[in-house]
Amino acid sequence: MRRTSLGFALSLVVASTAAADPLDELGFGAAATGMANARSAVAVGAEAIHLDPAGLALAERPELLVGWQYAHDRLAINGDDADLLDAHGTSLGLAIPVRISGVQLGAGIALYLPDQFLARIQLAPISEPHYVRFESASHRAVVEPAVAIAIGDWAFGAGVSLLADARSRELVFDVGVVGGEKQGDARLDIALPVRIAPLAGVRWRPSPRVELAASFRGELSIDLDLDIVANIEVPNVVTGDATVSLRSVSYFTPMRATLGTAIHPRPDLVLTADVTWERWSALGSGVPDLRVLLALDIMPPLVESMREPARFRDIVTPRVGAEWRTGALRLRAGAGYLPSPVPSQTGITSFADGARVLATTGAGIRIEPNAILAQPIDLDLAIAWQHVARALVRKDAELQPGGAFSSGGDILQASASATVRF
Amino acid sequence: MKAIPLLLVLAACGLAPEPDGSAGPSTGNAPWRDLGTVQVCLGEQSLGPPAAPPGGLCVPQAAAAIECSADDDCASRELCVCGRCTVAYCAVASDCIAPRFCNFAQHRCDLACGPGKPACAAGEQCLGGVCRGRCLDSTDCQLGEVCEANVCIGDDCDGTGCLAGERCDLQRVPQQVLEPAPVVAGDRIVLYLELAPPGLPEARAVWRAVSSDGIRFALDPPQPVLETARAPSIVVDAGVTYAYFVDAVGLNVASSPDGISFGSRSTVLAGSGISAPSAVLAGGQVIVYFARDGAIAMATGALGGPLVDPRTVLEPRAAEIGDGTPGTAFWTPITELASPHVLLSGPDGARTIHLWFSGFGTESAPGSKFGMEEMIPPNFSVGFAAAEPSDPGALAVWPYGPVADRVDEFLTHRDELGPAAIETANGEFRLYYVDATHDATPAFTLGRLGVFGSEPARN
Repeated sequence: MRRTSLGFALSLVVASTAAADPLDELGFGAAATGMANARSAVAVGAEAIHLDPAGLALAERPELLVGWQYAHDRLAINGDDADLLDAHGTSLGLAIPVRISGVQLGAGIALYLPDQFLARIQLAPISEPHYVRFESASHRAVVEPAVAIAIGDWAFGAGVSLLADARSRELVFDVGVVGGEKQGDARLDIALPVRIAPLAGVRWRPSPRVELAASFRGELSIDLDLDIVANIEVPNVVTGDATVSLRSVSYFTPMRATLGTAIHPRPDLVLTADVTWERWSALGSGVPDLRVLLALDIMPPLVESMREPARFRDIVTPRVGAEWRTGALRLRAGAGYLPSPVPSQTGITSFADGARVLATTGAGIRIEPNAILAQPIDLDLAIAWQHVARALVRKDAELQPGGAFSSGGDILQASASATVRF
Repeated sequence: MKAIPLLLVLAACGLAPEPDGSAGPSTGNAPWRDLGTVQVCLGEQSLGPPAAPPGGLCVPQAAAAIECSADDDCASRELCVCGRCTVAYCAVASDCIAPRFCNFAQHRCDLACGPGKPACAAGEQCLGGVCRGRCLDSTDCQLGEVCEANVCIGDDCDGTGCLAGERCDLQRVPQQVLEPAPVVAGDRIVLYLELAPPGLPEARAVWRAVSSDGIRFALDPPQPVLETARAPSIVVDAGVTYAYFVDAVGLNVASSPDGISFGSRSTVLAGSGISAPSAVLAGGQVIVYFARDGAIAMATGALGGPLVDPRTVLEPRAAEIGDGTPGTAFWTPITELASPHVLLSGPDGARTIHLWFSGFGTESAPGSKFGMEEMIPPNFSVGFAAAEPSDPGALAVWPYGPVADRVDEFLTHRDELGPAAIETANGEFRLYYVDATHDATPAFTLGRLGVFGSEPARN
């Protein structure tokens, strides 16, 4: 066995990913994408499940939202393409309103299914500059069932966002040479227990021209909890056990609270604004805990891995949007400023990130009922542009002499969706 | 073929399989991946360790090789070795690249076969766990094989030892290789290095080799570019190649319009005891680091001109890390520093001087073997330091110990001499070194040239 001793030391130190919910990045439906996701106070029916589940109860008819989104990353590290994998996937939303004794109830589910993975867990070397929030941001599935009730000018919604952890109950490999024959055996028992984050929302229409919304989503992540045991038996060479314990947090999706408002200055125009607080400070280390325990006849000296707290900051993201209706046509635009929760990376970690400016536009058309259609169909398209501010990081010479990296670039998004009512 | 229209439709929808994301850029420090032995070819033979005998395989007297540029150009059991197709000779396991392994019984790189392994090529049989050709005589075999008992086998030789009607086709000749100095030249890597015949270790000269992959080099031209010269370091500026090197007088420089034909040398820093210079152009001046009295020193001056202000900038004690506590990163004590290699690296706006060097010291706490504590003796490992171009003498040492140190079988630390790094156009680093082992006597047993790559294996 030949390897660098660094293999025993620093390569054990790897960094996991932290990312907002994929639908926070891509939008659930093209109407949301076209208005920079600033639709929590106006979204009703299926598209409301993710933005503010209270809007689920405001749908007039059962509806099905089907959409497809694509995000192309043009992000650079040190001036070269960071080569991030483009994200694309399908959105499905179902809303079923029910009226009982004058009370409007609603139930539904929002799904986002990436085309490529249900989820992807990457652990990069800790010192390697990488986009901790973007490289996997949109590469996980979203499942959000919700219910809602509307009473008068008020509506209330609740639901959950579902994800799973990965925990090894038994992950044992027996390798060796017995009686001159190579032997290999494995026992695997890995559980994927469900993780749940609560969703809640409230909607209030104090006047015909004003709508207010508040929503909350709990923290969510995919926690990896693996204990890998290798029983090695090569007589007269090496026997014993090697245990690798990995604890990591991926897809950390922070707790968030959103306040939204919508103003209708004219019947054909709505102006919206959302302000979201995200609690990134709960991320903890941001670096997995990886421990190796050797009980072999021949044992190299090991070096403890380093774990630095991530020290991410809580952030507040403002977003605004507008929608103008003229006939069957809807024109939309939006903008937002998304500060970075990542602190200055002068230490051992190299999380590339930056404040983002978001600009979006979109259009939709409503096909009214006719001889073929019993209910209206909405067809929507949107494009979005995010600019990630360029950052040049110089490392603390005492921690990483000569270390420096630059980051920044753009993210281009497109979204198309159809909302069918029954 | 039926899948093609489906793939086209999927691709149009963006659903086709996509290449995975690649690893991010390296810092040039860690983690390194051992890319194995560097092949340096002089004609049809590669350079082997100076203390090892020549090695090759017996071939029929009239056998002729086919020229190649890649392994795919060759027959099933052959590889492209120094520009020709032949069954590859091996002396140690690292001579063969997976999936091939060194079959020490025949000193050839072989492909394993059998249950769970890839099938042998057409016309081959799986005999004794390896793919073999059947034959009536040696003309039925591939180059590097002879026919014995109707099976194509490898028969190793060292210049002699082949049967009548055969000749020894040498693939490897011993040569002392020291102080590599790689330079990126477009899409090629040019490697200047110090060579000496094994019997005349002091008869050193600077040679030039060229490679397209940074692993397989061919000496070009097939003679030295600088005679009686040692430890080259290359600076290219405005199309002119400047070679800094040492000789009996001191530190010299010579220039060349093509990197091959160098003009007369001029001494830029006189004095004995100077070794292993490494030069970089920064801030309008050339900064030359070199080893002297077991420490790293530095001098500056105009490119090609005399160097001034020579001074020690890194003593062994200053490179020590930690206190030797087991479980912590340390590198102490360090008794000697050697072979600095400098590179200007980093993103625009933050380019700094990166300096790799060899340090002789202890970087590992004791291991254990069958319940007994096993001391790990000091050895030469690769260290790293950095400085701002505006203050090149103020070196900050990598605070986690050596950045590269190879370990065999958990406890055996080999020596890495003459580290030399390059940064390729795509931000990857390669770190060349000379393999060695040491005992009390002789000081070192030199091995071959090896290389680390910075690209992590997560793709």
